[in-house]
Amino acid sequence: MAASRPLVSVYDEKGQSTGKSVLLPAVFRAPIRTDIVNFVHDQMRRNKRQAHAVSTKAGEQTSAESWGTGRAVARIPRVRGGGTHRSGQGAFGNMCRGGRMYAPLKVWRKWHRKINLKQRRYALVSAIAASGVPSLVLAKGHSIETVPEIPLVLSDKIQDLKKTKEAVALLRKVGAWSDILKVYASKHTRAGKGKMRNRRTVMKRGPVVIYDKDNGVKKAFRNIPGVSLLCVERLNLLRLAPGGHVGRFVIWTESAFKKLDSLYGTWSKKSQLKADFNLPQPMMTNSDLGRLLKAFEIQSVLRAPIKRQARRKIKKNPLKNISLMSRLNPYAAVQKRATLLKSLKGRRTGTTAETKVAARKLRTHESIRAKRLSGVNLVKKTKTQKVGSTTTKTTTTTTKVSTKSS
Amino acid sequence: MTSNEKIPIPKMNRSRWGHPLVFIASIIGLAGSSAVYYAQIRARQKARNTFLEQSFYKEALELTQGYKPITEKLVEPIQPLQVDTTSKFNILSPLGAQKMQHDDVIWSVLNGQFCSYKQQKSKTQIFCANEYNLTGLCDRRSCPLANSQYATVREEKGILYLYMKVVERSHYPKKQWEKVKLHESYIRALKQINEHLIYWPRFVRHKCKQRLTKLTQYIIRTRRLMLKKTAKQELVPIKKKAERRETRHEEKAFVAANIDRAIENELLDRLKKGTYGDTYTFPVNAISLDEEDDESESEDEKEEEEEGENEQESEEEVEYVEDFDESDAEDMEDMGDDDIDEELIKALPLSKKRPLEIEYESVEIPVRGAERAGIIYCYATRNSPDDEWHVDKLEFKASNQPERYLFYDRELRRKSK
Repeated sequence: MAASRPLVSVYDEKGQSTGKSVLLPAVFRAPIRTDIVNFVHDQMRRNKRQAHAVSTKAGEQTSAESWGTGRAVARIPRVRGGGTHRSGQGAFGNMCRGGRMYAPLKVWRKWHRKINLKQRRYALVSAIAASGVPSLVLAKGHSIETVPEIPLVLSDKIQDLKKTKEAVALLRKVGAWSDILKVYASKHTRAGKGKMRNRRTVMKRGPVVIYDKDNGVKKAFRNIPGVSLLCVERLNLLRLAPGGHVGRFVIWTESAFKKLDSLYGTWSKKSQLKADFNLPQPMMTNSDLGRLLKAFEIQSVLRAPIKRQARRKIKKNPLKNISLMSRLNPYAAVQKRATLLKSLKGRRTGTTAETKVAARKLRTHESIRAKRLSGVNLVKKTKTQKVGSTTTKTTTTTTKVSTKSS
Repeated sequence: MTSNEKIPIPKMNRSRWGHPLVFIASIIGLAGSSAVYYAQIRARQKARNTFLEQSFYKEALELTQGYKPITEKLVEPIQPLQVDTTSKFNILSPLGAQKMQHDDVIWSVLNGQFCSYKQQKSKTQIFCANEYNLTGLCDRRSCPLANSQYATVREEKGILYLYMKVVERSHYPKKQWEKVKLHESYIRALKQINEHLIYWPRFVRHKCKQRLTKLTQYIIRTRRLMLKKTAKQELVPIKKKAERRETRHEEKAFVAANIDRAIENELLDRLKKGTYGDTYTFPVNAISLDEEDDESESEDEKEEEEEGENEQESEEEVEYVEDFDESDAEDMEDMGDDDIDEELIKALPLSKKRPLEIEYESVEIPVRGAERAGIIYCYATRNSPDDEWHVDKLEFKASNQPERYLFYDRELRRKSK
């Protein structure tokens, strides 16, 4: 197991790597459950609230009574008496001027939340794990492009820093100063009433410095805007995942980093400092789904994919569908072709006058022939001859010879 | 294989290759072991899908051959035990030993929870503000954060660079991006990209080339524009509000300046001082500098009175501008005083008839609140010493706008009234 955990190199105050390296604590391998972090953060945030309420008497200190119906006024309670503007005005309702509000705030509202210990620990562990992934830290908005390594571990000499000047110099050397410049740039006046409630300016969060023993670190770093200080043994989710979003930029001291294993345990070994706690088990040991599905071990067990599924065939009518007919009776095609050719025999498909006449002639010939064959009396019409005023029509009849039509 | 190359040794289950050493040995190329290895493969091939086997083998080859070492770029060597990158090298691992950086996990966090680079300004398209993004869209494939192996083409001062990022350097943000300068020639640059991204995913390679194309076109366009005349001029926008404000200020300042009164005072001052010497023959005591006392004013010297304007009580510190026009040298009579006070005598463009005794004066009179307002130049003439001074032209030059002049002809104003 140890072989799969990398070594993290320790850096000194000048930003150079000391030769030393620490084994990555198992916490950084814990599953990153942003949903748990969000929930726990949300609950935890409520715990710092102070009770507030509206006065119980507010809006109720009148002896107003409704005038009832019949007075051409709305039926809300109105203030008694006279001689003042106030008399006759509506009272008591949340809609009335000077009335009590809707659902007056009470102090016995549930201000704080209990959160399960396991959940709290899970969230914390996820937040720590996320702080070790550079992409998540970048996505959170920290500028860590100049930082030599993530997770950033500095030597224990930092815990002995006394002057803010030294602290600033350290941050500069280590490449964390650009993040603090971002904090400076983000300072602005708060929107809302907080302005007049001693919460005038707002700014971003910068890096957290997590130490083991405070020999002056706190005082050295606390005046730098954006920087938070935390002791390893008392890590705060509200500082590690501000806003409920994971991935704050963390600067560890060496001893703090080393303590993480004993604080949170590795999977094979329980935590020494926390009662009955071990790191949460992940749902999937290997969550690279894309690669998993392509893996030989899985692919070999799967059946072949069905690329073309056989669907229900629609029954087609052979009498209408010639291709189907040919499949059943190959001679049908021949027959059909013959009839077609016959019908087209000698037919011209031109549109000029001659062709039209010719086509007509052909048709008449055909029809005459057909009629003859079928045994119909044909009466041939000839031109009418005008002899003076009388017209004589000469008609010739041809009696058909009864022959059987083929 | 050079010593620099780091060969990631994947963890394997026994069932697959038999002894893990077989696989390693095959990589190294030991003859006997490869025979064993091949025998095993053939056995497997009978039972299983050959395609998949080959793909795995191919990938194994890729790891060793197509792998481009980048240690020469690093200051420190990569930690030797850092085997756990994405499961590209490690398919199934024992329980609990999870990798730190899984692209899928990262993407689920960024997509679902929060990413500071995500820009969703429209309902249809989500953009990514990350400077290394290939397409500019917030996408599973284009996200530089969620893809541990990524490349981009970026332009810096007209030069194109190929940036590459690999898993091995994912925990060293400072050294994460490898920067390769691309060739100036487009075709060669394309070849370079092909070379550097040879076994990379097709998407990245293709998009890099597309980006290269677009950027080269952009550079050509920029160069062409720079050669144009308009490129050398710096365009400054006219701010309407500011302009409106300034003109109004000027007008007000002008009115407040009381130029006439200032001229009057100045000329009387000069007269009193004796700068004109004997040119003007009238008793000095008769002339009083008190504006309100009209009786004391000499008839000869009648200045233009203000019509009910406020008196200017500020001290006039007149500055003389040394702008001496050569062509009018003959016309000037009183040149002797130049050494004493530097008088400004300027030729008037308006009146060209100049009898000998005409004096031209152009006085620089600072306006009240001079720092803000400016200076008024007054051009005055008179036909004879007995005549009145006639102000021909007044020029107001605001101090905040050195190029602008506001002209004010008193006569016209008078006429309009």
